Amino acid sequence: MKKKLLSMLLAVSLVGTMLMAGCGNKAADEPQTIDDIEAAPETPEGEEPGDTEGAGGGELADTQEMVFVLNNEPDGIDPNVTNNSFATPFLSNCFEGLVTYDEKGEVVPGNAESWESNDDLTVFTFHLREGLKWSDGTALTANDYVYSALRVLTPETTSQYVNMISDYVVNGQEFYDGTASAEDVGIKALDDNTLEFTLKASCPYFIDLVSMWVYFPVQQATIEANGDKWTASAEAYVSNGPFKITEMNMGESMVLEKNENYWNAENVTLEKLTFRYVLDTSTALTAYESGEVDGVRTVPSSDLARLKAENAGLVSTPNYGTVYYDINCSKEPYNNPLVRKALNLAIDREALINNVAQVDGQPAYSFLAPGYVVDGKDVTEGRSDFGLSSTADVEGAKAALAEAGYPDGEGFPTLQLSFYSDDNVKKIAEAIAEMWEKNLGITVEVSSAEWAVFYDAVQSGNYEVAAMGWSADYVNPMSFLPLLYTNDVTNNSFYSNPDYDAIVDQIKVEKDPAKFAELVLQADELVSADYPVLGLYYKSNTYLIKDYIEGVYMVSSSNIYFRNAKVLAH
Amino acid sequence: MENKWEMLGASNEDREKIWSKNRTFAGDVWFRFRHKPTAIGGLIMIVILMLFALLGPMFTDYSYSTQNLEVVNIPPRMKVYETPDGSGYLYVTQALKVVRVNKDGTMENQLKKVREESDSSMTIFDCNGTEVALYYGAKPYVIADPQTRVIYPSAHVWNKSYVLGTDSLGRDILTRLMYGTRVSLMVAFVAAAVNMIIGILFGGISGYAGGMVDTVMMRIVDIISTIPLTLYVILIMVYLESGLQSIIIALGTVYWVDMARVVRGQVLSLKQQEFVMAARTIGSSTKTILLQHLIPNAMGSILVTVTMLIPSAIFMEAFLSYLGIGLKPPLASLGTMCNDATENLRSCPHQMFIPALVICLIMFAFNFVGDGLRDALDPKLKK
Repeated sequence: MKKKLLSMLLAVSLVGTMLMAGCGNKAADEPQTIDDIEAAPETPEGEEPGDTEGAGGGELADTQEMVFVLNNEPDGIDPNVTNNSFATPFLSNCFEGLVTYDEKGEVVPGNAESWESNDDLTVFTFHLREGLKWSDGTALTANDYVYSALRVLTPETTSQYVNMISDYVVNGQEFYDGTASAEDVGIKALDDNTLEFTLKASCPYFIDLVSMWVYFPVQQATIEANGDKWTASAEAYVSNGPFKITEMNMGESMVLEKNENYWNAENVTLEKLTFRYVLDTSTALTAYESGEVDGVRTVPSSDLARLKAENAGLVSTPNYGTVYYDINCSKEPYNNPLVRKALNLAIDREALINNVAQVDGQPAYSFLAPGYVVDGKDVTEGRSDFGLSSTADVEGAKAALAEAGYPDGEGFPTLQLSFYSDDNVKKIAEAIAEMWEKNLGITVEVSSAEWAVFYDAVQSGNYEVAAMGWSADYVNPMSFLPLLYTNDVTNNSFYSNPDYDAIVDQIKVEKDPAKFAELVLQADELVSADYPVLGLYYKSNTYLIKDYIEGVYMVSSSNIYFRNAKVLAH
Repeated sequence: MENKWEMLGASNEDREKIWSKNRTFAGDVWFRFRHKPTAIGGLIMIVILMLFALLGPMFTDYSYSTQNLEVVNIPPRMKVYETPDGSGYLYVTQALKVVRVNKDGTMENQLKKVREESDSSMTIFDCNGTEVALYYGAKPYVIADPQTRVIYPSAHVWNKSYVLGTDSLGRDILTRLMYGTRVSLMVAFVAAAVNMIIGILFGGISGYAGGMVDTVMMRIVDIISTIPLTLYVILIMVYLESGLQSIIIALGTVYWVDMARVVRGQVLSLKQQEFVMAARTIGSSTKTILLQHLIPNAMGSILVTVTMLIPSAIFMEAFLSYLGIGLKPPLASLGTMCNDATENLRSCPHQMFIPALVICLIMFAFNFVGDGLRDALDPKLKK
């Protein structure tokens, strides 16, 4: 007890000191105009603006090393298995697929030098670069790609993205079910450098699809030697990307070093990249501001405005994703669209975005995020707002609920609102619960669980309303549309509408971009008018990176790339 | 009295008379307790905290869940700038929004943003039809006239709407603090009562029965005390779902082991004494001997153990809530308040400081009372 007391005392005095420091700088002579402030010598805290100009010279630092903080540990780093977005920093830097993304977010050749398809868009042929190598120096051939794809299609692999291959490739699903042999699957190595995919139906966005990590190659030798443990030690984790893992400290950090066997190794400047896990975002921010680390993946929302104003290196990139709440459409009373409409109308999205989440985001009325452009026009342009607005429509919400048979929330069962453990998600959930209680007169009970437990419950339909978000795996509306397709694995709302399914089936094979865009809009209008989800806002990604590091970029599918990173002298 | 050497009367009454003031045991304890300033200070503190927790919510306008998203993360004392017409004040929030404050310190709503002038690092807001600029190019962020760039006169005011400020969802911290203290004290007293009942019975039976029964019962206690407490409590909470009752059940089922050990030790030494022998001789039942003779005699150490258990139960509750496995939101406890505040620690330290301070006060108070009781109950320290 004595020890506890002592530590409490220390904690109090610490916070006390911080308070003092906060109030300490009461200057005797207050500045009278803004010009006075601008003329005043910079406080040591305010990042020296002169430094950025100096850095612009492009002088490289002697040691090309950097530390980047990740705030969540992935559930696995096997590209064939995981679908966890926390694994992206590893997968997009240690591996490279047939195609990859450049700084502008456009698809560029990766392992494949070029590719072509037949007119029907059902057969895609990729030509691999000459002399590709694994990080252990052995040759990488088209057969490795075939091996990985078949590994994904093997049920024992428990790949979470298996449908990204099995839904498209000929005999993929049959091989998974055990009714077709490996020779029948439409993935063939014609020779060491030529890879051919035969698809069930024409797929205009197949190139976007193969950029996903589930299509990345993995090395057969290390998997056969180490089994599932191949991702658990640096020696066994053989990769083919710009970096390779040289040190794994579970729960603490991962050290990546330049992979000399990467085909484009001469253009990789960064020698050593350390991913350090700091789960608490404000601890990470402290480390960043004291210069201990060079970048942080997630920024505490309450500091965003300040960091932006201070030019502290905040990078905000658009993300092709939506933050929304799943409503269980298979459960009473949520199978009634009017109830879902009432829930949607009772939310003040503007207050959530500006005051609670404090993010850069656009209010969302649908699950489909804007960001896919056809002929210079966003496919979501000109769509309806489905009767929703950025602020709450209390009257409308009450009317909808009354029409559904629950005037003033009478007789409405207690709403169970589930969310996963995360500071920001918790704040939003609490704010939404309060809005519903106040605006609709219903009672809301919130409960949280760790992501794995939470997601399990959501997938098995054991929830009423649940916090959710979706970042597209590849930049195409087709990465969103299955979310509401009847019986799709990602359809956690358990929504079903045959008309919608029919349009999506049509979209899947539509080759004409203009018609494609039209159908997407039509599908969205049809389904969002039924309010199967509760859209909150369209995401943007923010991360911190020091101004002396150049070339780090994030694309709208949230993949962060370090292969062009350079540490400038500072 | 001429002769000082004259013999006094030797009546029986005089011989047996106790010349010092006669006090009961309880009176004796109270006498020694109230002459220890720290102990009496602790007691007063507990009473104040209980009044604060039980009666306080009657005097606030808010409930623990009332949110006002217009005024999030507002501190108790604000640096404000006068409005152009001088009718009120403007406060710059950490999210770089501007909130109107009345002259008396009560909070109004946010100003509407008109446009962003990023070239000159200014955001223009609309204040009753006049434009005001928030300049964020350098610290400190100020509010000025957008044309003349003259900063409006500044002042410091106390927050009258929310005396201790608001949290990240615009809830009144003072109100939440009252409910949080209530939860902490409730956990403490319920856990203490459960501990006393289970611990006294278990320890008493074990000590009085002795032999094989004692060995088995004490090994059970040993096994329970070897289980890492935090892990066990977390498991229970997962099984029973988080909430106040699971915290109480979790703490109640494990915290009694210390009490059982103390009671057993006392009973072991007391049962050898003559009064127990006497009671047994006249045929008293085991139950009577245990409950009427042994336990009351061991009450001193029991009370001390309980008062020492209470702060550790409070600390455990705060700790569990801090880890996020305690109460269900929006219920407040001191631990959940600290947890909610960690994210904002850099920009709003008061959100962390206030509940942490209350935890400290409660811990101090109970420790001082326990300390005072121990001294008061020890007859060897009698002056």
